[in-house]
Amino acid sequence: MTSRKVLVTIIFLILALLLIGFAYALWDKTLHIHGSTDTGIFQMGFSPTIIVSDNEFDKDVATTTVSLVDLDGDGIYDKIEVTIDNAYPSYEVWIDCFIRNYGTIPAKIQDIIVSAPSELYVEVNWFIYPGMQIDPEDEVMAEIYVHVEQMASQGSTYSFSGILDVVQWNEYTP
Amino acid sequence: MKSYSIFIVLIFVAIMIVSVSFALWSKVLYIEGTVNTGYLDGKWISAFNYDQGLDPNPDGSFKDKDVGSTVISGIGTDTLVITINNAYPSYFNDVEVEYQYTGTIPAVVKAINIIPHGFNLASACGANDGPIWVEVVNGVGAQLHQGDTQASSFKIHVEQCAEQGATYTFTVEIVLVQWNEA
Repeated sequence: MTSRKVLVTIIFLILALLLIGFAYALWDKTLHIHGSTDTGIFQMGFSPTIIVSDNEFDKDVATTTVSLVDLDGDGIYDKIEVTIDNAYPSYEVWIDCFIRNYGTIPAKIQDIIVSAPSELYVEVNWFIYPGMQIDPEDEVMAEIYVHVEQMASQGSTYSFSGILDVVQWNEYTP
Repeated sequence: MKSYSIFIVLIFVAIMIVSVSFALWSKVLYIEGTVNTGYLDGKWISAFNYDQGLDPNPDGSFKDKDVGSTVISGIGTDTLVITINNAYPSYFNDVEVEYQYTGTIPAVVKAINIIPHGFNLASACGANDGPIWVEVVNGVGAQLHQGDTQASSFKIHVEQCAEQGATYTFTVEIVLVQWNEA
């Protein structure tokens, strides 16, 4: 009786092994998809070209100096510094700079924010506007306009600042 | 239990939304400006009065006595003080003054104002419709750059109606304005 049980067990084991063996013998083929994504580069900055002009035609009294600054050391200018010396009421200057798309992703201007005291009138949005698109390798001219108002005091220093927020074109929020 | 599951799902959705926001590629470009304004300024650099002894007359001659006298102070400042002592009717003096423009913004002499304090100026030398006649010669309309000098002449005459023992004070203003607003 015991040997019969052993025999049945062995037979089941053999059947099980046969089944497993059949499964292992199943021919199969796996198809693979290999994907890679190279993301683009979003890189905006000021091009090196700056054009300065003012309203002094018969005299040269005030002087405007403009310099470009690379804040993060990537070789692209991120900041414009404007210094006007010996200014006076009614002095006005136009600083033409160029915003360039150095990357591979189209960009749009999201915000143009300017902050200036009441003694100065500063505008940046004569040629650029929120929503303006700048494609890769393209550049647009932005004009910084500064006018010294009548209320400006003699021998004083006034500061102004502005930011141009540029985003990837498909994330622009009107 | 069901509400707890919904809560978990909402948290995941919120995290996904936040993740999308952080994925926005953007760049901020900066503009910084500083404006230093210039100034208008000037100072008196010389003054000469013709009463150096004998009292002068309007025609350039001199009287035969030294009675009145004129003292000038304020050279090097922007206020020139001319004091005439022991004056009398017909006392006359001519003060030649010169100032230097020291401002950094070109200026134009817009006006020269003579302001009497408490009396009326005579309308002309000898008109006798006020105790003092003052005239300022030259200067209005001149354009001045830093370092330029400008000369003027102050003529002063005491009229017949001037009172004894009185003090007559007046101010002369030379109004300079920036050249581009003149």
